[in-house]
Amino acid sequence: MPSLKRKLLPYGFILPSLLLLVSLVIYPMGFSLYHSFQNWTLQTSPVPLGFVGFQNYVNAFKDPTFVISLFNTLKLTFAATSVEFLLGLGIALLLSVSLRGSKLVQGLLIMPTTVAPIVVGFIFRFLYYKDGLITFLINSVGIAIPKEGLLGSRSTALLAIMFTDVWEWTPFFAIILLAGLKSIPDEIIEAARVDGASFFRIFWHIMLPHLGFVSTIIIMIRFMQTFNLFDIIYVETMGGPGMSTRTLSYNLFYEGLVNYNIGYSTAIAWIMMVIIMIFINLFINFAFKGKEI
Amino acid sequence: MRSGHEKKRKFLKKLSIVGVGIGLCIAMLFLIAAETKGKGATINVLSVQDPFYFGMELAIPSFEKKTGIKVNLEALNYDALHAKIITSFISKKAGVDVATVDQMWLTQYADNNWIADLTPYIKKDKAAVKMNDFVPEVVYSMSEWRGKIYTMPMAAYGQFVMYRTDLMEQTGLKPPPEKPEDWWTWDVYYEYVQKLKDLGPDVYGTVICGAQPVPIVHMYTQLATAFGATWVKQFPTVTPEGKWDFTPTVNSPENIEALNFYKALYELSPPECINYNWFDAGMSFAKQDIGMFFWWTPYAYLVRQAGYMDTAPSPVVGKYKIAPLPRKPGKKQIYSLGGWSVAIPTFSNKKDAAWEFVKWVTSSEGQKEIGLLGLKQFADFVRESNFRDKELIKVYPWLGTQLFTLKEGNGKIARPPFPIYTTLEGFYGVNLNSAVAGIKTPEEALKDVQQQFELTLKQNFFIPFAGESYNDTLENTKKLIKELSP
Repeated sequence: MPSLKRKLLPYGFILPSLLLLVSLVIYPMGFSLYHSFQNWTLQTSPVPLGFVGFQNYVNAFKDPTFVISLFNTLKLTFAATSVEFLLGLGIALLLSVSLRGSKLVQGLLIMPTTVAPIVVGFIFRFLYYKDGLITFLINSVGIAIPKEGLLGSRSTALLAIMFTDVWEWTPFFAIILLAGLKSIPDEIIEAARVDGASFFRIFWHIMLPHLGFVSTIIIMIRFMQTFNLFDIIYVETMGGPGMSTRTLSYNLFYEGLVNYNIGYSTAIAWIMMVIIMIFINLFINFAFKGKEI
Repeated sequence: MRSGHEKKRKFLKKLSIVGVGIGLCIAMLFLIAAETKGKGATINVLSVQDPFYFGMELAIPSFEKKTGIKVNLEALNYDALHAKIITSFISKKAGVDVATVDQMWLTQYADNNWIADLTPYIKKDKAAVKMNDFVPEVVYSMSEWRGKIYTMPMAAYGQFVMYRTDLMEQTGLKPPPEKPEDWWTWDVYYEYVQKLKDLGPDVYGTVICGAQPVPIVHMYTQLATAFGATWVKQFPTVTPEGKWDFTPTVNSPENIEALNFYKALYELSPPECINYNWFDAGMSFAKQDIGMFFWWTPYAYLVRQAGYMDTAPSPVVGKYKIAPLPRKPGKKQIYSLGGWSVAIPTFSNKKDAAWEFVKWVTSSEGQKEIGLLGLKQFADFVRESNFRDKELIKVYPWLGTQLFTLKEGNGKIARPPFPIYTTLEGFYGVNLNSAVAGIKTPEEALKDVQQQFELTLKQNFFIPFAGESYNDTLENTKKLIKELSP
């Protein structure tokens, strides 16, 4: 008996975590998957109206709103993640040079990331107004702003959303990549300098390979987060003008929590999950080809 | 060492059991304390954070003092409120005792049996409720469904015109009338807006609400209704065969004409208003030189402040007046009527206490109290006695015009509250925005709306309508009000 108790005790300790995992992750996923095969709109019925197979999934790909949202999401995700990475890397390289005040800058740099995205969205909504700071700055360098404003024009609204996201999350890349740069042994770089290597060659042959693993991880994380971007869009444009800033997350919110089309919105959620999994798997295979993770 | 480890493990095991037990006891004590707090019941009231909320919040202590019922008041924005209410309905939990309900949610909540039928409560309390004091058109548009009263109206919104008297004087034009007159038509309105725009580069003739998917629908449908456009063939009244007919009619010539007119108004508005929500459009009248616009009646008091719920006065105080909406010759003038009412969820286990709150917040005295407190930002009355109250007229001098808009109002035509309304509104709003922004022509936009409406209504068994129809008329509501009056 004592040995049975000892055998069961570890399970007793992990039981609360297991219950949390089941109730907060597995059950909701199962619930949503089940209902994605049902015809259920809370606007017309408090209970599901019946099994419809893959009809909700088919309807998604036939729905022009979904297709447009998908393209907007992919455009935004790839562009924002790339810009954030490149800018973040540049900032990290600048901060890796020990200059007076760089520690202070590092502390200030993390501040945008600590602000809630919805607050950032509100701030930038006001900055993009006709008499807002960003509009003023753009006008002052001679760039013409559309008469509808940055958020009111199809040609600039998605860029404006992207800029908001880039402002908030570039520091995240910068801080992580800076940590990666600081982990490179000084001797390697010194040795390369002594051998006459230029900064570019040091960067390309030493720093970048060293940052490979870290870069892959944070690009993957930001890819997933940007793919699910919702709060900034909700506050700044609500998917407009037209559908120029409507993303899959906004579409999901709209179908699930405005239209209460439970069957269709859960199908969208699963489609989004599959898309992200495909991209992440492709990315991992490409980034870690031939390497053990 | 081994026995030391075992002793430590046994001790930790006992400690964790004791800890869990103490934690449970503390939690139970808190629960008991919460339940016994105050003299009577404690009810949970969930409200949207519209202007009436702030006055209601200030008036609640007087309700608590009178009745001994404690109120936990929580305010949320529109989407969060809807999500929270529906979550409580689906979970069948008694978490919410009173909830504010948008006019558009009434039919969905009533048909799903999520809110209690208040007709029996009113019958038992006729003398206190005084149904005959309510504006019948408000009850019809916001609270009545299938011959029963499911909610009590709390804040009724009509629409009227607001114009700058100083700018109007500069144009030399005859000011818009205080009461409807034959000459005051939409074509004259457009001419006036053009003349106002010509006053200078910093003056805009008007402002429209352009944000999709929902805000643009609120302003546009007032115009469309005035032009004779409808959403579907027959609702809420029935065909001679006694059925509703949800065949969409959104690409009618009347609606195309209305959308072209709305687009023309946009050309005389600040260009960025293509992205304006309700508050942006309304408060721009308070902040910019906007000559004239039409909007929900709460903006008559909101524009007195420099910002939403701000204490600083706006620059337009004393420089604007109210006028009724223009008319379209040959068309029946119908005013859009929206707003908020209060309901008792079916799953509430404190319905009697909740009913006391509902009665108070919709009573003549309660509404007057809310209207005179704080920033004085509540004139959305639902009872005729409040509209004739001299003390309230002194604070809100336009109440006469506002009452007129409500009495000519029909919320069930301008924005028909059938259960699938929210989905249809989304399609409508996106396409209206596209038309006004020049992405599509009005004809293309409305053709797309028509197709999307047809598909959605068919998928949800509205074409042909598989449910039970009801001949929902204002006359039937007036009869019901008479039956429920003292």
